Amino acid sequence: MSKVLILGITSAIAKEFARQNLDSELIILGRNENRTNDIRKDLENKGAKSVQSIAFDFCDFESMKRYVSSIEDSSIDQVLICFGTLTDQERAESDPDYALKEYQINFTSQMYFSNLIEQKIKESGTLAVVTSVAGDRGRKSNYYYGSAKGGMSLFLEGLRAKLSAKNINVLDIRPGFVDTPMTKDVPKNFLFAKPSKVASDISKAIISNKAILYTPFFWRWIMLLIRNIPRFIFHKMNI
Amino acid sequence: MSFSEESIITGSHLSYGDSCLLNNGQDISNLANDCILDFNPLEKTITAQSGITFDDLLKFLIPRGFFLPVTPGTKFVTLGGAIANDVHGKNHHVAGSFGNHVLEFKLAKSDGTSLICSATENAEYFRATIGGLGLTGAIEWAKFKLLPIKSSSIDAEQIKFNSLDEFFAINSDSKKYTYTVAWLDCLNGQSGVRGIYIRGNHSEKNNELVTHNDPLISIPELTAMPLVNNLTSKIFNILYYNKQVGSSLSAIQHYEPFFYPLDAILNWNLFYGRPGFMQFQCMIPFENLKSFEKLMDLIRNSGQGSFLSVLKTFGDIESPGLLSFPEEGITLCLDFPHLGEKTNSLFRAMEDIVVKANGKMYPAKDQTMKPESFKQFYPNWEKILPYKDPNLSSSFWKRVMEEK
Repeated sequence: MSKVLILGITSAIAKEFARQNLDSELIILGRNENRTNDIRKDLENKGAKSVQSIAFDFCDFESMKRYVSSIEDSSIDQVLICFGTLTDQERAESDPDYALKEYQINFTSQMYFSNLIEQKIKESGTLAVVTSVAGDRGRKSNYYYGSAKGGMSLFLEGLRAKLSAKNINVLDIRPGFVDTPMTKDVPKNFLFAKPSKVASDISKAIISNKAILYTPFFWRWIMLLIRNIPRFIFHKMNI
Repeated sequence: MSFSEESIITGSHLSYGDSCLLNNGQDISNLANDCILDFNPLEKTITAQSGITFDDLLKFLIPRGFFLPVTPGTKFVTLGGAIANDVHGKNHHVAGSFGNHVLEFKLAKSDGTSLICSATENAEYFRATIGGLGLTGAIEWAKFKLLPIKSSSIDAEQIKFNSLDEFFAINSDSKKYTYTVAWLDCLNGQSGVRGIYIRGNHSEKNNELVTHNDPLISIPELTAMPLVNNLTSKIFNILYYNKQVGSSLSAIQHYEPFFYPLDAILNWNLFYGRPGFMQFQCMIPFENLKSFEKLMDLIRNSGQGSFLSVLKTFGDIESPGLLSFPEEGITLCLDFPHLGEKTNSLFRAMEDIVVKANGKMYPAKDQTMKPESFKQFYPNWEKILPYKDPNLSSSFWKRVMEEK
């Protein structure tokens, strides 16, 4: 049985991913204990063979160190890091302490965990991290969020190069707009994807050892366009 | 769930009018809360968070040999919405409404307290919340009874009828059928009513459990032009009535097209274009059948109305819900493309007939009922006031209570 560690289980994407991987030995971590337990019950009722749920604050670095050291080396097949918040750009611009906290959630805590978990992943295992298309180019509408995600993507790029020697795949998952609690205040349109679709894209990408996953697929081409808009035009745009 | 300002808790937003809307208030979506917390096949019960849809419940239940005890005509409603509207289905005459199968639920109030409600614990809250339109609190999870099945198929029969008398004759002959409903053509009949009576039971012949698939077709929002109008409706009705060549037809049908024919086309409401449509559903007691015939005449003479009108008789099983809609009598359900004042005046005339006939209209479908009508239809409305949460409301409630 594959051993799969999921951080941020109360994320809609992580929850759907777990629901699609009931045959694996699941270890699910979430910040809210009650919600994490509810998801464990849901997975067990749906036939999960083995689920362990742990309440965890991902910004509590001491706890994280203790937890990871309790894991046996080279014992985990897949790690999915799927927690984060949608940074309020306006607030970040006027409140750098808020911005710092956001970076911690969306970037540095994930970097910290990746550093610790590295030796616990089996050879030919996968470290999968949800970043975002927002990390592809800094845009005036969301560059605090974008840079946290983009910074993480760069970190993963280097880690991928290093871990290729151990045959460990590092998967950088870049979703576009997804219909989840994170975007509850964002008006929905036809570009919004369902979390279950994103989750199944992730499963397929893990199997095929993909490095970078744009989900849904068309975001690869949208971001290619956006990355190549000349700066003088880009600066005038309101995106 | 925290609602410190005036809010409405919503699921799939499938109520047709304003009972799932709140102008100038906070819309709190419950859809993320969709976990199955407990499943007990021996006890034949399930406990799930209220944001789960009947679609997801069926995907879980069908392979395990269970069906929903009561289901409305779409499976995309949430468990919370099903309780709040005390939904009913084709089996009302034998099973009552959904509220009759709810065993207990956890209700959270805006002051942070929560209560477990059942017929024996916090019973007043139990009765105020079933059919209570989401006004008493946020339902966190609910436990309800399941119907064991051996097959995912329905043994179905379709019988044509050409008058209301014929409808009633077939109806009284259908007591041993779990599911009964009639599709009605109220646009083409010379006088009176014609249609197709549909009745069915869970199949004992075919012992396979096959879960439904997701819909393939979804109407894009770009269709601004209304495709449904008087002409297309008349043509549709003629074709639909005549596609059944014989006067009666038997078939084994999968549960999906039997219960959820419209679910095959996501966003079918967009066929009505930008002007949209209004739905009218009423119930009239049997002793006032004359009024029902008046209603049918009014609709036929108006020249308005569309395809897929539904007719059914409700049984005498009482719901625990104080504001429950189904009561013993005949229920009629129609969609009307919104043609402006013509349609508004038709709705006023229809409401008038229902009021005089001691009938009721259904809040889940309503956009027009007058405050006095609501109070006549639901004399228990005052009884739910002590249980209403101060921070929860809806545009429907404000309209019928004449609040700003």
